[in-house]
Amino acid sequence: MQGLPNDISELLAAVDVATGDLDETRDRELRTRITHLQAELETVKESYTQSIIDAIEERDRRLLQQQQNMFRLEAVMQLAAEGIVTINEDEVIETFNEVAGRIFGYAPHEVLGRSISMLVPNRCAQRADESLAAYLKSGHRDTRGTYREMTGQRRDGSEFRMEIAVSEVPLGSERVFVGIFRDATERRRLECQMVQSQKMESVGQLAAGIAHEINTPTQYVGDNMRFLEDAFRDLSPLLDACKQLGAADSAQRVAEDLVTNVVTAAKATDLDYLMVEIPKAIDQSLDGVERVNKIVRSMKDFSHPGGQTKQAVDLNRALESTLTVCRNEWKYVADAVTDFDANLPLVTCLPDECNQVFLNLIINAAHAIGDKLAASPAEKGLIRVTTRRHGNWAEVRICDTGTGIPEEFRRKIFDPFFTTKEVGRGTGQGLTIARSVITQKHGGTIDVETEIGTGTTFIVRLPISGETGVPGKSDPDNSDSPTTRTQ
Amino acid sequence: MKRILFVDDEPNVLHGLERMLRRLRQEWHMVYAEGGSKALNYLADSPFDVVMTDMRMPGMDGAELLDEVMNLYPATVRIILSGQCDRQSVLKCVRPAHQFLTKPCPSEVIKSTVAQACDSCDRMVDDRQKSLLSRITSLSSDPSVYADLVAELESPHASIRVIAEIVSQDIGMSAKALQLVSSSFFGSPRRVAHPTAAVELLGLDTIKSLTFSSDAFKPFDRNEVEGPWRKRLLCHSLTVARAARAIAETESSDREVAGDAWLAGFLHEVGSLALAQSPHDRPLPQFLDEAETAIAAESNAKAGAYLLALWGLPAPIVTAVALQHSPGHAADQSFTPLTALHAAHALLQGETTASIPAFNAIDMDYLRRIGCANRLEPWFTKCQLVVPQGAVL
Repeated sequence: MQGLPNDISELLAAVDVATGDLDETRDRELRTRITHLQAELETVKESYTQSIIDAIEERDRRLLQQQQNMFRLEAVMQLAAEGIVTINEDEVIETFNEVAGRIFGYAPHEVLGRSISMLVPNRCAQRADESLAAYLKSGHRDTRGTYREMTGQRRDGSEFRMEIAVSEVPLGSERVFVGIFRDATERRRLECQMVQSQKMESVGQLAAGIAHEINTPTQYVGDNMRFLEDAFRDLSPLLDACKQLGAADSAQRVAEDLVTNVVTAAKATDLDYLMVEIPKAIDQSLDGVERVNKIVRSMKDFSHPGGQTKQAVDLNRALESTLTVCRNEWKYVADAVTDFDANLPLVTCLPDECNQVFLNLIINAAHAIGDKLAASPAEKGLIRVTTRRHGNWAEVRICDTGTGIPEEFRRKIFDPFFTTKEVGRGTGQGLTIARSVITQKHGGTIDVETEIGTGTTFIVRLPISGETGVPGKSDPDNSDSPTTRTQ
Repeated sequence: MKRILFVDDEPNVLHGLERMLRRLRQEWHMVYAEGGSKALNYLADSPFDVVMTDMRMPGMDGAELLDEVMNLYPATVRIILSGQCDRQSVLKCVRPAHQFLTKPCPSEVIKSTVAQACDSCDRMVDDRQKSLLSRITSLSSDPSVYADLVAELESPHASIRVIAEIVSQDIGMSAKALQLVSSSFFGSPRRVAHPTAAVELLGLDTIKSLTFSSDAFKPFDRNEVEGPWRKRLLCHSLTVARAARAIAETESSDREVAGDAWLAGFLHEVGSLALAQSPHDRPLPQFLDEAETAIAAESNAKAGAYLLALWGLPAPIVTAVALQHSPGHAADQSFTPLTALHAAHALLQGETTASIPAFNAIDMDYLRRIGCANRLEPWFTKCQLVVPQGAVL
């Protein structure tokens, strides 16, 4: 309604001037028109006011919403189940959530605004710096979202291993880094337990076989002993007669009957048989005792409490022990041949876990051959265990003449719980654990070559020095190899 | 001369056995085969009385070998000598084997087991029955007893005591359980003479495997002799068992003698049960006249003894069952479980009158020989006490 004030003024002016001369009718008309105009004015005024009120309310509502969102996100970040820390490009801590506080033992105000290096042991700080600097420089996004292991330092000075994933958050011209982490102590403890229980499980599975391996020599050693006892008893009269003969005065003519005694006794004794069998019985018994010794020694080697730290290990001997310990698993279906590099140096590794890996591979080989023989009976198969040195690497090959692995399974065999065996014969964990042990704990490699109907070879390569590319001691603080989350 | 075949995949084991057993080469002709197929070759050349084999061997394992032996040469006694100690593998070969020894096995046990096996060969004159009995892998049971057993095994709170009770009410199951514990593998150093003890020794898992995985316990099928006869047999056996034990307790303070007497009584009819598994082979007892009954009874006794000997049950039990009707053949000089069984059986058959009736069945010469001729009266009283009211004997 444009020009409204002018109309009113003019109207009012007109009214003022012409009040005396107005006709009653015109006067009434004018008054009505004014009333209408006044009403319209009111309406417009109301709707303007309402629009303004609405606009203000809308803005207030949005503001509130944003505030609530902010609180929500803040709460999410604070109360998330993982520790969350954000730092800016200068490594200054900007946010520090509740779990982070619990893990590190700090209250937020104690860390906010300070350098991230306070959360890391001194000796690791430099490396952390370097890796962040390198990251900034390179602009690489490779490691975003990948969990790695690092050592953290708590408020009380104690250290712990944590799994942390870092990602970059660009905010306009700035960059902020978000680290999501958890205390890996529990996970590592459970992993240890799992390795332990895996080991116990295989020892348990092998126990029946080992008992059999010990019972068999014990049987024939006992039988041979009984034979030797009988043989000695049988020989006694002969020996006695000889003794008497010998005791006779040599100058005198030897008494006929003494000689006859000797001859009779000899006849009664079955001397020919004893002369041949006694030495054999002794030999075979000694052999049997040695077999038992070997098994017990191998078991000792195998169950050696390896512990958490890497040690220098004679792989040839370890493989020999492992073969002996599980002999009952393969001897009925295969022969085992070893081809060891006699000059293979000691390899720095975790003995327990490596033995476990070799055991799993050998038993798998035995099962593969067993399956092949079950389908088409034939002569025994062959398991060949080879060691060689290639530069800084020790290579172990475990080769079988079994069924081979079908193409579609080749990629899956290392997957957790993947197994083609029937219930009770394998949990599908063996190769998964093998890969984890070899690649993550040793920085080695494990590969497969296989051909259906011919057989399979597993090739394990371990760094002789215990650490990839770095000669000398291994570094337990910062394993830079990424850790895959175990769910 | 008895022919024994030993089978193992380990040459050293065979050599050890050969040397250890050499002393007995005048009594037994012994052959040592390395592996299952070589063993079958030897068997094809000429039959053997006893085969003792290892279980796990490459190619053909012990259970497969014994299956073949059972089919081709049913009269041969089949024994396993195994180095395995896990029950699961052993239970797989329970079916075709008569007895189970574990390595390391002392030489005395090997010798006595083979000797007893050879003895059992002599008991049976009838080759056809010998084949039949040697093939028996289990004695079938009353379906309702079997159903009870299955129900208890499948219940979440299965109790070994309840199962022991069920088994000891069935002759077939009891005999089977005793067969297993008579072998060193499942057994214990102490002699087990009662089915409940045997079941408890075997344990719940083994009983489950025996029931569900092998046919060690099974209900009888339609082709076999019907229920009422079996129920009478069971009742009669239990009564004789109680009577025999009561008599033994009055004569001897040795608990083993009393236990054996009970067991001999409980199993004295196992022969008829075994033979009834193929009824077309012989007529049922109730259709025979008196003379035939006596012959049938003697034959049943021998058959039962043969089976129990095959299954390795203790010698006093086997002897008692064998000679229950003709104890005069025994070498006894004093009271034995055989005496208890013979007397109990005879005394329970007579009519009940106020005075002691005349018993034709009792062998007075035998009783005089062992100095028990004047004991009939107290024994008779004991027997009367154990007879259930109104029971048909």
